[in-house]
Amino acid sequence: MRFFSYFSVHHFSNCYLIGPEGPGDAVLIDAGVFDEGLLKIIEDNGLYVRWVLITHLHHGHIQGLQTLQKIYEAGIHALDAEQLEVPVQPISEGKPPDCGPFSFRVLETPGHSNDSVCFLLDGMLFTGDSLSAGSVGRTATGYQRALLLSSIRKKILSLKEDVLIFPGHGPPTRLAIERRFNPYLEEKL
Amino acid sequence: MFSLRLCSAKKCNNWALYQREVCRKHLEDPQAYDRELAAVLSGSATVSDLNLSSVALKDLDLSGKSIERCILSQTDLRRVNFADSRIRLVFMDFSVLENCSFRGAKLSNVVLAGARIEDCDFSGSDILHCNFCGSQCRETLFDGSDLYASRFIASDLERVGFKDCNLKQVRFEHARIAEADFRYSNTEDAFFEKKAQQL
Repeated sequence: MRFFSYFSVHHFSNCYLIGPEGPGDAVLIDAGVFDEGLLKIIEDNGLYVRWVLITHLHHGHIQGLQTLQKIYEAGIHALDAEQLEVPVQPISEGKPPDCGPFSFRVLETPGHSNDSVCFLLDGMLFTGDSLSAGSVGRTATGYQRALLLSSIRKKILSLKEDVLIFPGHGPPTRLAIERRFNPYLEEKL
Repeated sequence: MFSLRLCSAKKCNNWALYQREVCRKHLEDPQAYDRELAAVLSGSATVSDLNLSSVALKDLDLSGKSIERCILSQTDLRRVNFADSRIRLVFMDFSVLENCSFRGAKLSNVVLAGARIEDCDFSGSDILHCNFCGSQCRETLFDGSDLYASRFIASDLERVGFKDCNLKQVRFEHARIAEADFRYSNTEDAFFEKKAQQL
């Protein structure tokens, strides 16, 4: 398995590309941007984006979808299949995406948005905007805030300490780091 | 890829080390392993996809090397020279770094969270999108560096130089900052308030 992270200055968002050791079909997690830089990584490594996993449908995570679909015939997977104008295959905790050799687990983590999910693959957790290094996702109401913190505690903090976290914004981190230093997780519900 | 395999010792949940079936705790001779590893690292221009967690390295010159997708968590690094190196997507969390030089290095997506960093020199470096959350930095220089989008949330910074740095999107919320030098840096583009600057 090969792993690439790509950062866009448009929305300060990250996307992640996971592919096989050699050329072949790859998974893209979030598509906040699809530009020459990302295309170069994909093509230079002989990859074909066959699957796209969306952590949530905010603009900064899906804006590159239209361009991507002009180049690759990719199956798009998201929790809320109704909100996008392109065909989307719905996923849930009980219905993980079929990404060939890559077996992702879906964790539903509502709060930042109703459709927020995280994807877990071999000790790597892709958290979208639910949890990032030293911070948590923005929420508009106290209810959403409580829902987000509850989601993080139940679904994410229950995972193993050495899980590596790759968020939608900001640098990577690890679960042990967030448990110990993330000041926002100390908030009482 | 992060080459993570579990330690083969019974009921051990640690990751096995590079070229070993066991973690550092279960090595027969950890010091011999450190010496062997130092020779391997010194002899390679590029180091990638290795798990070197908990190793102890000292008096080692890794200047100009490319280090990618490695796990160096809980390592003990003393007088290691990373000057002009390129370090990308490397986890060095909860490590100890003393008298290490990163002068002119290019770091991106490097995790130094929870690390104890003392008497280190990051001057004139690109430190992009790096995670220093919860780290303890003492007597350390970042002068003349580009720290774009790096995070020092809940860190403890004492006598640290951030002179003439690019601090755009750099986050210092909940950090304890004592005797730090921010002269000529764009502090207005960084976040210092404890109030959340969330996504």
